[in-house]
Amino acid sequence: MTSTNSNQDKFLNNRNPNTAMKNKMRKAEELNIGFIGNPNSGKTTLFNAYTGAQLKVANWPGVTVEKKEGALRYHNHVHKLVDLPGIYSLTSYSIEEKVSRQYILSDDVDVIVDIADASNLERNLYLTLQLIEIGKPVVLALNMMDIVKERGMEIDLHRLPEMLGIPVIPVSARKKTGLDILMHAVSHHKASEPKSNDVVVYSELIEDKITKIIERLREYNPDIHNPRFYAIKLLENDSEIMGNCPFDVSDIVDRSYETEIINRKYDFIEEVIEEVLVNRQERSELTDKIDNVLTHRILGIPIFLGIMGLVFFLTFTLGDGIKGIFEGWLESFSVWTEDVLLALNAGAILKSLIIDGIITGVGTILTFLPNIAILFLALAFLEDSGYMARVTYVMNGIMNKIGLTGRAFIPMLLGFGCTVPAIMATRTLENVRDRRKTILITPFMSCSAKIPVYVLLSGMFFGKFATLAALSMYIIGLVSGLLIAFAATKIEDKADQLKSPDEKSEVNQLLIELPEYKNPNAYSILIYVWENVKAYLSKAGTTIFLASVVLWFILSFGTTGYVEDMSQSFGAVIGHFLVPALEPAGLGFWQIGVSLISGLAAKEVVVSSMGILFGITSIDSAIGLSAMHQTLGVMGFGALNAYSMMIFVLFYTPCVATLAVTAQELKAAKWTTFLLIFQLTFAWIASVLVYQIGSLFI
Amino acid sequence: MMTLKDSQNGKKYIIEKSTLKQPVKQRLEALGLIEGTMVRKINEALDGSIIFMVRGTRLAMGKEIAKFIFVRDVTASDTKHKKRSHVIGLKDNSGKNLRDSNGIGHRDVIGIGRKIGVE
Repeated sequence: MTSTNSNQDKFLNNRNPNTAMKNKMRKAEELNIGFIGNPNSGKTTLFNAYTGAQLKVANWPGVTVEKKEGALRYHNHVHKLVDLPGIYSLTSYSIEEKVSRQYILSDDVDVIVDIADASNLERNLYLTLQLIEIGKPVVLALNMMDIVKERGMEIDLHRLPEMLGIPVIPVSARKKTGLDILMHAVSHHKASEPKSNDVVVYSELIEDKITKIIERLREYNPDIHNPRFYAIKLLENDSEIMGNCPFDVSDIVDRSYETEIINRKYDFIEEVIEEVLVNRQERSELTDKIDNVLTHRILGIPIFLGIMGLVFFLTFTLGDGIKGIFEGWLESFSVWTEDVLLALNAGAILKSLIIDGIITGVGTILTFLPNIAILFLALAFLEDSGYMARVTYVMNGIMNKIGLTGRAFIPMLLGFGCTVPAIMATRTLENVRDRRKTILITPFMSCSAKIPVYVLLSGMFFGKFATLAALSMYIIGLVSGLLIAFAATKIEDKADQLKSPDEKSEVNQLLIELPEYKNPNAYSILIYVWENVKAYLSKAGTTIFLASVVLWFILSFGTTGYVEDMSQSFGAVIGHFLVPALEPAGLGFWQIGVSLISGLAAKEVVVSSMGILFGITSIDSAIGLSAMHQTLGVMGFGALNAYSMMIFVLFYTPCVATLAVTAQELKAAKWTTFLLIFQLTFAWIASVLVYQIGSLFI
Repeated sequence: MMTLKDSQNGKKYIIEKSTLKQPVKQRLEALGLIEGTMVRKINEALDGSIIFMVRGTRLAMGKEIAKFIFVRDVTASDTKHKKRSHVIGLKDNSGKNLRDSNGIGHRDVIGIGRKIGVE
């Protein structure tokens, strides 16, 4: 309850919005509109309906919460729309809530548009009441009125605004109705006079205290805006507001009045509901029926696995089919380019740069595109239909044992197809820690590009046990991933210093809203897919492209300049340099080092590089294989070395593309670097262990 | 006393108290799970997580939270109680006929005014 100097003036310096507006003199009455609402209220759908795909996605400063901004032309005015994270209340327990609250309280917001799910008015009104208490202009957008009607309910649209003291506009974000009227209301409801913010009146005791605190706040800063909101937050013992309070209020706030304040708000909501809602029918029978099957205690898991099987099939089988077509085109284009270059008498370096560097680099980006687009189409469908929340519930029992949310199962499973879309799928996880942990272990799920390496090495050295040797990679990868997730959770708990076992179990527990099932909205889905594909192309794409060109350079240039032969390249120099480091793992051969480096482009490249470096022309033929086997055998590379190499390939960084999407998702260079070092170290330690322990027996 | 964890599927209960600690306690209060609120248990998973309805919202909750929320059976007096409108799906017992009635009777109820303090 003491003041902290650094933040001391932070909340008291909020200027009156009127003066703020005049000071700014925004051109042509430009308005900044904050969109806020409960999760699942259709807030983003409404936002999309206004802005279309014209939006800017960034991060809120300092946190990994997405910030979406869009512009809207309304009667020659340009309004700025900001989509805030979906929250249930204006407390400060989650980053999302803190971000939203700070933004809403700042001068950057002129009008608040509160989007409420009209079919679930009772719960949504709680946030509304808190927003009204801020004292800024609030317009309530009643979304999903069509569902209200479908269920035979009615909302008294005269009485509701009367009771709340704010304009209430019925809209349907999905059917795009009411959009103009809502903007009209926003334009006319902007700060012209101070808004009444005492819709909810508390007990005499609390109102007394509020008055006293407001007096004290005014003494400190006569211009303070929304003192009632701060007074209430102080009485709720809100940690953030308390910490920023420049003076001592402990004589007034002798304890937390939060429970009383919450109870009073809900009492008021009940009064509102009683008067406003006609023919109350909140429960959707359809959702109950679907849930009887989809969240069934026994059938729930097999049904989920079936749905995931379908997603996997579509993403990879169908995706790879389209990828094949892309690759065909790219191949023809590459051949055509080569002809053109030949005709133009282009030099070998330029030819190699264009064909092996640039076209290959672009090709790498494109090859992931069908997988990513289809995956996000499927994920958007699951999310928009309401099923995604059920996944968390259904898989909770299994995933919670290793400290992950039920939803983390999805990226892990996709990891067996390709790590790139799998890591991108972690953005459906709500919490940053879950995301980090899942990204940490997803690469351990052997992706399909690792198969050629397993097949080659186990085929050469393990004879009839080849399948078993390859299969063991999947099992070792999965088990290691689960153990690492478990260990990471333990470390986190320790860092949190959650000493009491109760507290620990509570904080990590499942608590999630299961929205009602609805038909997915095609427009929302397309925008979602487009946003993700665009993000992949613009952020990860550029990194993948640059990395491909760098890899090309390392493998095509040597101390003597451009080299046709990989064994003369910088890559080979690095390969030689790596020999001592790889020695304890039984991989101390420069060719292996180079192959592993080239594997950073894509894992299947390890196989072709080995072919080139060991001088085997047809590595996929039986003769080629036995020739390679012989060459390796002469070098002293046997079954144990091969197994050690498989282990290394299983654990080390899958490819530059995964690194690029990891950086994109984690949005922190620190974590990406950590992950890279972790993967390399882990792969090295694991293969050294395998080789050293194995050597004792063989 | 019974907790939400031991509750039966399909039955309605009234929340009596919770012995949870912050921040989970506050989280739940913000979602409207406060004393006197009626909830309807819907489903239970193998790991003991539950789904229930509160104030028109379906919530899924882990058993480590549910076991700290104490509930009691609904009694006849609850419907007349001040917190009557907590009753979730109060009208759905009678199902269809309600929809048919489509009454607008409540419209003319005059509001008790919005400036009413508690107690």
